[in-house]
Amino acid sequence: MDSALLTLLADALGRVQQGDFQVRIPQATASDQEEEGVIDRFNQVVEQLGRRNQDLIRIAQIVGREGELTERLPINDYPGEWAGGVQAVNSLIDDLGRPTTEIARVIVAVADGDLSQKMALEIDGQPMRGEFLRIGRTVNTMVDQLSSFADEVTRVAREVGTEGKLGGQAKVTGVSGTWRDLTYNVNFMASNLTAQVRNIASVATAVAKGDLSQKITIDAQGEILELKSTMNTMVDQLSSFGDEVTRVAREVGSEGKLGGQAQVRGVSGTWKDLTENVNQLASTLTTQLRAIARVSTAVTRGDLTQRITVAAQGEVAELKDNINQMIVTLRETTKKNAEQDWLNSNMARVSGLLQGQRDLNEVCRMIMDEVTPLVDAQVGAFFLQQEGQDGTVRLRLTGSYGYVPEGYSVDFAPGEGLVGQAVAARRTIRITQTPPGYLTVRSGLGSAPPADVVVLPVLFEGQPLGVIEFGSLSTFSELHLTFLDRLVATIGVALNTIRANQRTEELLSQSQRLALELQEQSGEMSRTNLELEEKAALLSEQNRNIEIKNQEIEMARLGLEEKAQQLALASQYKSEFLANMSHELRTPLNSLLLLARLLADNTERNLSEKQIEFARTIHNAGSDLLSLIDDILDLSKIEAGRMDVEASNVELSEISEYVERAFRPQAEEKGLKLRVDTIGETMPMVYTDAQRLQQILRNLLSNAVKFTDSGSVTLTIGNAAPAEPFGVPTLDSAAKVVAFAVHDTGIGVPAEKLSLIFDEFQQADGTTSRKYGGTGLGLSISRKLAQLLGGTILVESTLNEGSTFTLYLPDVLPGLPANRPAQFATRPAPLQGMPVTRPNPAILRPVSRPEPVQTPSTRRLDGACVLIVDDDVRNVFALTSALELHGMTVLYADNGAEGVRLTTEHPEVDIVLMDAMMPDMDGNETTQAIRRMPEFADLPIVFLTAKAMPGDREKAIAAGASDYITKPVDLDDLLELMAGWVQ
Amino acid sequence: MTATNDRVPGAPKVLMVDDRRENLVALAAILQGLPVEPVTAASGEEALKRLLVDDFAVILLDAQMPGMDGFETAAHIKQRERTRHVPIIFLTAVDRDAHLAFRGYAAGAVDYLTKPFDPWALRAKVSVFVDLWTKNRQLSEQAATAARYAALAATVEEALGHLDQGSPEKAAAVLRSVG
Repeated sequence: MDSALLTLLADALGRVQQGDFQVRIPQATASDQEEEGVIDRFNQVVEQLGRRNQDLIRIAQIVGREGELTERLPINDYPGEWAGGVQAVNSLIDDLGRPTTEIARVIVAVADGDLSQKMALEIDGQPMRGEFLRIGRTVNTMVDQLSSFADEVTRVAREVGTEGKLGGQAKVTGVSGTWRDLTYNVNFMASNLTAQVRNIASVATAVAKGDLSQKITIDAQGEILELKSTMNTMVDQLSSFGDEVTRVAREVGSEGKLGGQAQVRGVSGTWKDLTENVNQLASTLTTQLRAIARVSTAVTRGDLTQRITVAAQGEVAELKDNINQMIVTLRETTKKNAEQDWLNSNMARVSGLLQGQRDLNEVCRMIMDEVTPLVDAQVGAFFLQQEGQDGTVRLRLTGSYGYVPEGYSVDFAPGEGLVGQAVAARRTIRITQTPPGYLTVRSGLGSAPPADVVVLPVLFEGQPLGVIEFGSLSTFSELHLTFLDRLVATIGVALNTIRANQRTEELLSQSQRLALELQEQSGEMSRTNLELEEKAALLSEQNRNIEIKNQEIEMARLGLEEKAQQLALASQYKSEFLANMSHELRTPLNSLLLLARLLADNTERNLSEKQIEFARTIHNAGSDLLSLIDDILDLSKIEAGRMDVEASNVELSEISEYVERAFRPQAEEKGLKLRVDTIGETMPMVYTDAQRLQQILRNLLSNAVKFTDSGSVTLTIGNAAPAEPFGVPTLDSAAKVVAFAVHDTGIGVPAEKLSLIFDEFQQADGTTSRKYGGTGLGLSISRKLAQLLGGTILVESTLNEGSTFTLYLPDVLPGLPANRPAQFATRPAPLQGMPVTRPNPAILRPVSRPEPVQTPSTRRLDGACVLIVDDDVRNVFALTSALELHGMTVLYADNGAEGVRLTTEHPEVDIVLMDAMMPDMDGNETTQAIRRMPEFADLPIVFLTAKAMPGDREKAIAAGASDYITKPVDLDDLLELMAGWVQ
Repeated sequence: MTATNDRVPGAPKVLMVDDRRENLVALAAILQGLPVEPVTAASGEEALKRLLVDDFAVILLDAQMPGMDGFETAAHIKQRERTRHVPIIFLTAVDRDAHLAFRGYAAGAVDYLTKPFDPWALRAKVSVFVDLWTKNRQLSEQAATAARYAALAATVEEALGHLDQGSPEKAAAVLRSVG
């Protein structure tokens, strides 16, 4: 490419740059094909630029100037980058055009009266901005205000104008300028109309309600003004008329001011007629009322003579007639009332006077004085019925008024005269035309016959009590007659009462008299009573004392009984204690004595004299002690009443022999003579307790021997002298009394000690015991034993010369039937304490047949050797006896170890009977021990057990037992069982 | 079962029953010198046990013992055939109750001594019963011997009979049977 072309191009481009799209490079300048191409392309570009510029200008003109918003650039003509530009331009047109269209739509709607349209403030989802937004809002605000204004005005117009709702105001906010003025005017018009209409309405309402004081006050013009003044005039006239009519009505009707007339000025027509009618009404009412009031006032003052005479019609005429009738009735009633009052008050007065009266004459006089003038009578008489001594009834004059006796008797029998007739007929008699001279009423100045006479009977419950007669110069009025009729009834009651009172008083005085007498008598009685009561009180007091004494005695008796029981109990305890004690003391003493005796006898010949002496001393002292204990035991037994008496027939010869046998050696030892004498025809035997008798004699004789140093001791047995009094009932009542007298030639007993020697531990002299030994209990026991046998012991003694103790016994022990002695001698003693039952069950059941019975089993067992292992020897012993009877040999072991030992030592044992329960080593263990030895593996071992507890048998078999049997064992069963095991 | 120290072997036995030891000593002292073997028992039960294993010539029995007393013991003894003829001497301190003695006799006592008794008397009584026992024993031994001889004689007689009938074998057999 040559530079020329380049220059051309540069030049041309420079022009294009400066906006010249008309530049072209001519083809001719092209030097070659290539350059021709460049030039051609360049020219095309410039031409295209120019055309597109034209397009833009055109579109701007069409859209901007001509308002054709639908025009667009043809996008197809612009390829490449151009298309973006074209798109932008078209979009700009769109964006500008759409709001304009919207605004136009809204404004067109407003212009058509549609105020509901509003501008959309976003288009195709894109909110408006900038100027468009402002315009949009302004348009919408304008539409809102217009709409609001139109609504308010329409509402106010409708409310005020159509619906009559006054007071409505248009409220349009946010308007200004003309709109505000317009709104204001509409409101002003509405409020003006409202005020006027309300004013008129309120006045009209007030008039309708009767309030005529209201006026229309509101400012108004034109027709409204006219309406206002007419209304006000009408209200004024109505008010005036109302006031007048009200006043008249109030004066005449309410306040009673008659004669008032309504004065209404300036009215005409109907109003005037109305006024006149009201006035007419008021005056007529006034006239009639005044007439009625006058008469009523008179009646009120008590003037019953007036009558209402005013002319009236209708109801008022009825009223007038009624009032007149009422006045007449009132007049009559008043008269009757006055008469009744008179009647009642006088009846009351006379009744009052009659009350409390006791004297009949006084009553009659009082009635005459009071009643006669009351009934305008001038003469009165009272006849009282009285019963005479002879039982006849007479009516006697007892009171009178203004009466002058005529000189004849004035008492009548019933039926006599008018007075008697009135009583007989029990009814009032009246005489109105009295003949001359019948009766005279006299005064000091003159006299006249009465015109009217009435005779009244006085009755009570139909029984006549008297008659009253009255005479009067004038005629008795009905009132007076009625009064009299009623009065006589009252008088009857009064008279009856007085009579009854009189009778009561009489009875009372009589009863008082009687009461007085009674009182006197009762005084005497009460005195007597009092004395009696005193005596009774004294007696009961003594009784009570006696009772108390009795109670005390009873209490004392009970106390004594209790004491006695306690004593008896204590005594029993004591004697039991003593008995036990003695036994306990004797038991060791016995062996002591035995051994001492053995020593003293010195059988071995190896003791010295001294040692023998010691042993003898021990033996003697022990013997003394033993006898003392025996004595104490006897004494306590006797005192406790437990000394038994065994009576039997006792041969006296035996007694003699006993004494000889027992005391001769002793006596001879002391060099004394002993004699036993039987004197007289003594009976051969006595029925008594031989042992006790011996005991007594032993005591007496040993004493005699003890206290006698030289001389003799004599026992004399014989019958006691029959006349001898003993002072012992059993002796005194006995058929015969035997005396055993023991006489000695010993030291004797001083007389003053004789009464003491029978007391316990008493000897004649304190030194006696030291010299002679002894306990001093012997005599005491002897005497008590003698008493026990129903006898006594008496003593005679001379000091230093000797004593005689005599035992007296009845021939038959008292308290026992005499015909039974023989039976007593052979009475079997009760067997007590024999083995009966024991806690352990017996091995053997009681065997009914003691004789062994031979059976095949027992034959087989004969000669067998049995080992019994059992710790209960009682049962074993019984069993052994039974087995031995059947020819068996029995070996015994009382414990398991011994059992095992015996088993080994005695191979001849055929069978073992094993007790299951043993202390230390029981049956099971023993059996196991035996079984451990091989030679006894087959030895039969039979278990005996007290009670078969479950499992016992199994245990025994497990231990090696051959068999098992339960105690108590039936012997036959056992033998059978054993036979089965013994070979 | 305390035997005294002067025990005589093979001598008759005396059973002494008392619950008090000192009494047993005294009894043994009393019997000292007699040809007997004293055997003691401190209770009725022990006495029965002794009796089951031994024979006795005489029994000295205290009546008052705790548990089984003398009367019950005696009753048991008397019920057993083998012991019922053994003489029992009751010894008791309770002498005043007559019926106690009666009970003793009723229970089979041959004698009834109350304490304190004369030791020589007791000794004499025991000695009598021992003699009796010895005599009885000898008698029964002699009776047994006599019976043996009688049996022997009968056997010889029988043997002679067999011989007479000409059967010496039988006679020899009979003689052999008795040894």
